[in-house]
Amino acid sequence: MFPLLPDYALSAASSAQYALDVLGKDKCALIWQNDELGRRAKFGLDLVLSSRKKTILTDVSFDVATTDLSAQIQRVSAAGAEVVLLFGSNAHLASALRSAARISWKGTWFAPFFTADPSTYELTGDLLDGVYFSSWLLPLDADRPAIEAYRAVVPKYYPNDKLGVFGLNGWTGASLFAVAFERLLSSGKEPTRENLIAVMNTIDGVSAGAADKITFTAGDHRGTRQEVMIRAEAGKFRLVRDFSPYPQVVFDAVSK
Amino acid sequence: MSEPSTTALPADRTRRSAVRIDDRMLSIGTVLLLGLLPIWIGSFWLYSISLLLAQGIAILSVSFLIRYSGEVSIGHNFFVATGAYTIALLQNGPNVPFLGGVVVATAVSAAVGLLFAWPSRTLSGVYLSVVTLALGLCVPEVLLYWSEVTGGFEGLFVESRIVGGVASGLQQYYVALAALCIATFVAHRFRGSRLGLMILTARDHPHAAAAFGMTSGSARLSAFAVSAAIAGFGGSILGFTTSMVSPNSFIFWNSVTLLVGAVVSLYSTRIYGVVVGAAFVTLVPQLLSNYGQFILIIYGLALLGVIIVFNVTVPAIVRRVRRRRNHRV
Amino acid sequence: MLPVIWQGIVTGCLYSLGALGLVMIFKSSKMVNFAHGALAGYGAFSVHALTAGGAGWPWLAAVAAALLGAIAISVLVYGLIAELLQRAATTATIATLGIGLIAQGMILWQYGSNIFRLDLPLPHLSFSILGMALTAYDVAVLSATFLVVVALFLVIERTRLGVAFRAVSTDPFAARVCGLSISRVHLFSWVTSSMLGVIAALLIVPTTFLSSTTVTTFMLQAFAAAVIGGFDSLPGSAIGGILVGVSCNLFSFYVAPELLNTFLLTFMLASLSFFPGGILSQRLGSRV
Repeated sequence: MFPLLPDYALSAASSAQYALDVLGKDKCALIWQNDELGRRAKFGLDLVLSSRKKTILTDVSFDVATTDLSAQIQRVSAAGAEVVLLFGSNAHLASALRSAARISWKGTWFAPFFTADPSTYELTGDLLDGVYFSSWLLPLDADRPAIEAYRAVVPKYYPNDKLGVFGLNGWTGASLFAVAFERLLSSGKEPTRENLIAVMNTIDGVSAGAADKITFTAGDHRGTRQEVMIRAEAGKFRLVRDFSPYPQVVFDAVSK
Repeated sequence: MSEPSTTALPADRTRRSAVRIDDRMLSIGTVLLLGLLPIWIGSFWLYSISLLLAQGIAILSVSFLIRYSGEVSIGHNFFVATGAYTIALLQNGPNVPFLGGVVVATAVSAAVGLLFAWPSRTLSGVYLSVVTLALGLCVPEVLLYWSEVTGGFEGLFVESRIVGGVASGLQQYYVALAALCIATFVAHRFRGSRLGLMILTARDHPHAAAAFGMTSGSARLSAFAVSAAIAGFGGSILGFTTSMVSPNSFIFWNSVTLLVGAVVSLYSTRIYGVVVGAAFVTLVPQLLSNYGQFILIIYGLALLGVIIVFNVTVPAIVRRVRRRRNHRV
Repeated sequence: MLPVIWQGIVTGCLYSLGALGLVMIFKSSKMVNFAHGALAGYGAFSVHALTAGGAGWPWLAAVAAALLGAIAISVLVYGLIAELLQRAATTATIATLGIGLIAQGMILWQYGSNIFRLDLPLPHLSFSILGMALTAYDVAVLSATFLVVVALFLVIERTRLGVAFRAVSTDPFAARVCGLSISRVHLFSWVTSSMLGVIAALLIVPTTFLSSTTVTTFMLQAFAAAVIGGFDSLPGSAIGGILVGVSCNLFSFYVAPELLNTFLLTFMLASLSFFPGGILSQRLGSRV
């Protein structure tokens, strides 16, 4: 297994780090989906904050099937949060933004990478403007050639598929495979399973698809090691900070 | 349906006996066929049919409730879950053997059913139906909230062998079949029992029943408790046949499925009827697994269609036939 | 705590609207319409399809079309179950569950399991009174509820149909003896109920988004409101809705938002134990 999708603990930690160091806000609250996604985010956020002698201001969970998050928003608002990390689907993000607008709560939002998707804008309208996404993938609108290729190829071969983060995710995985396979072919070795695995384990700081600095070694398969920060602005997803390593404490804590 | 064949009044013996033999033959035939089935089928179908049989017990519990009290429940997944989790917890904690677990699970479900129906005992049935909606919806959230006890999303493991040396698939199958036989036998014989007769009398002739000390309120409570017990019994068997219990198996949708099965089986308490209802709700989703929306529509049409055919169309035909016969005479 | 209660009142108005639709049908037909939520959801989907979702109609025209559609469907539904009603409410109730499933399936068939945005055509306005935020949406909900309740009151109190409705709901037998057409009254209540459902759906969807389950999920609270207020009391269910809205918000805020359905269950059971006739009823145990 050579996974690219990073543990959500890492994304949550990166988000918190950005809020603390770049935005200078330290009252972080977490709204999390009560499954593996949310639990990992809580783990990562707890770890990065406690490493800096801080704690989560408050955290509230919700069930996947929940559609109304106003109770959760009331809680984080009453606790005086400046920053809210929401770890759930884009529907939950949309619902949370709406609830916040209803009670006129204004703060900074962070959401997982897969919500930095045009479909989220369709749900939220301009409420999404200003939301941050810590993402292991460059934004869909970025001008890197690999992403331009994705934007060009998909409408050509799959005219019914919408461009989106999930597509870019798959594109990136396939790109990495292509990189490894080319290396294998140019090395002149037999294209066997063992040899491919050996080549994959030499991937070091490679950029593929929309991801960057991918590294695998024989004993360490935490492929993704850096994330960018994306901000939703006027219907687009803009890169506000380039690839930067994950907070070390959390990176050490996630399993290899 | 609205006038189930079970009434409190003594039936016309001479006319009933012929029908009765047919019913009994059909039941015995079904049991024999199901008993021999594992000879011909592979392990996938063996497992599917084991589930179907366990599901049948839960369907029977819904039919039973409609038959004996005229109430509709769309929250019976709660009692199925109660039975399933009781047996799982008893096995994982104090290591209670299977049969003991089944007995306790049945008793606990009956008690929970009684507790639930208590506040609405004197109210009209609609209140009970509406409250079962909330009952059905709260199952997964309760199970997830107390994850330390219930094992959360992953759920709990249930031992699926009672005796050594026999393949667990076969054990699951025959336990489910035996359980369904017991459940249908009890539910069917219940009609002739003292409590059954009292409940039916209270339903059809409330004043007469009250004279015997059975108010319609207590009759409804009893019917609900017995129905919950059957559901819990089915749940414990379901846990055994799937060898695990998790919140996803007890969502509100399962209650809808049970009701559809009960209606399609025409609220039957006979094993062949129950098997037909269970087969419908097991096979339709399997055949249409890629077309979720059609499952909803087919279930809806089944509810509506069966209800209308048996309450409107059939009585209309019967009336017409009778009228014609009277003319001729 | 005040903002929590305030939000609860606004949401509670929506539950009241949902509950009023259920109670209208119950009062005349003595049955519960379990298809109420799914049919209302279907109306909301039609509005979406006619406006942003493709046809691009003006919002008001789409709403009018959806209301007409809802009326047509409710007539059809009533036609299907009218004969069942004469026999037993239980079978009619099961039939409405079937209709609800069909409506839900039709939504999935036509619109898929995607989620959509369906807002009211309102400006982004918000002002603050006594430390509580008040948005254009809140104002819209409160005024729509007020208008609906007043209109309903006028129709029931002042029109011939309203008088007949009251007569049938108090004593159907006497009403029939007096020569009132029961099915006309039934039709009136089903049609009104379906319109109330669509209005409630259009108002509830903007708080989250439109999906095949949004409106049916929300209807649980409406059912709870009707149970707590009394299924045979229009004012009771309106007050019940607000009670449910406020208490749900308080429970989610102070206890656990994940246990909302369980809370509603407990609330309903407690209410049935202590106020078996609904919160406004003096006649204890009269709901048999």
